[in-house]
Amino acid sequence: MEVVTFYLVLGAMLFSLGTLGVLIRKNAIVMFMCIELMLNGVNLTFVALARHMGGLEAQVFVFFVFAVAAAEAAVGLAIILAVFRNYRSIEVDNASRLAG
Amino acid sequence: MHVAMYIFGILTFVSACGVVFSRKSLHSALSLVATLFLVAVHFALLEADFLATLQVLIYAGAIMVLVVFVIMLLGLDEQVENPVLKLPALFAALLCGIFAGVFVYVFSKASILFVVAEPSSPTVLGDAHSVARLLFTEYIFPFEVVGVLLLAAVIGAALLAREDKRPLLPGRGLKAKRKEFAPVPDDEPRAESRGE
Repeated sequence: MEVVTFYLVLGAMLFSLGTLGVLIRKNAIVMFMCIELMLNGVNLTFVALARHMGGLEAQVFVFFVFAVAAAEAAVGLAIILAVFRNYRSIEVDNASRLAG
Repeated sequence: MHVAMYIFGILTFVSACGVVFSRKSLHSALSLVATLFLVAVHFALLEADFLATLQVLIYAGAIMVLVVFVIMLLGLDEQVENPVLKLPALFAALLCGIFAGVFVYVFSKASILFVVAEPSSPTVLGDAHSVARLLFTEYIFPFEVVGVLLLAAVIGAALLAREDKRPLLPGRGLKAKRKEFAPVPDDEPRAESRGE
């Protein structure tokens, strides 16, 4: 198997596993970690294609994804803390007061 | 190269499964650390040295410290989540399987689409020097925007995570706060700040 194909498949696997985790887990922190998994799958795809195409622009994009992921981690974990403070649990099913 | 690629690829997949299917959130976090390190190894194998370093520093370092800190702070490390084997979960698993299958099919077919893309200059390396050169010339504006984004995230996180999270409306400013924190007589009940 070609190197780039292998990494594209691996990135797709990581992305799908992350999607599955977001869908089946109820724990907000685990869902958050699965989102990080999805971001990593995309990053891997970016870097594999950067190497295949012989350019560096995709690596710059991965850098921006890192920065956005860091921002997301800070805000997301703060939201989880706030939800825990109000509901004494981080199961996402409990925090459904806005849903009719 | 190829042997290392396959070995680390399988390890990455296994530890990613650990993130999704672990019953304790702390085990999920540890699996995620392993996955992030292995992705850093893949970055190094793909000659993206700078990104491999950043992956270890930012993801496996900073972000995972935050996650583990929150897990410990909320005391969730002893909580065991029972595996969900209900119909919706199975349906989700089927959906994600189809999703992955379509991806794999497309990628195995699509390699002919970019067969032209032989590296034009073989000296393109993802070390800090060349990435930074691109980052500070062509992509300087997005770089600045990312700085603003991080600042906004810090302010937002501080605002969300503070103990008293009433919005800073007029009359809720510093003067009102100072009045509120002044000692109150015991017979006067203080306003309940939480929802429940």
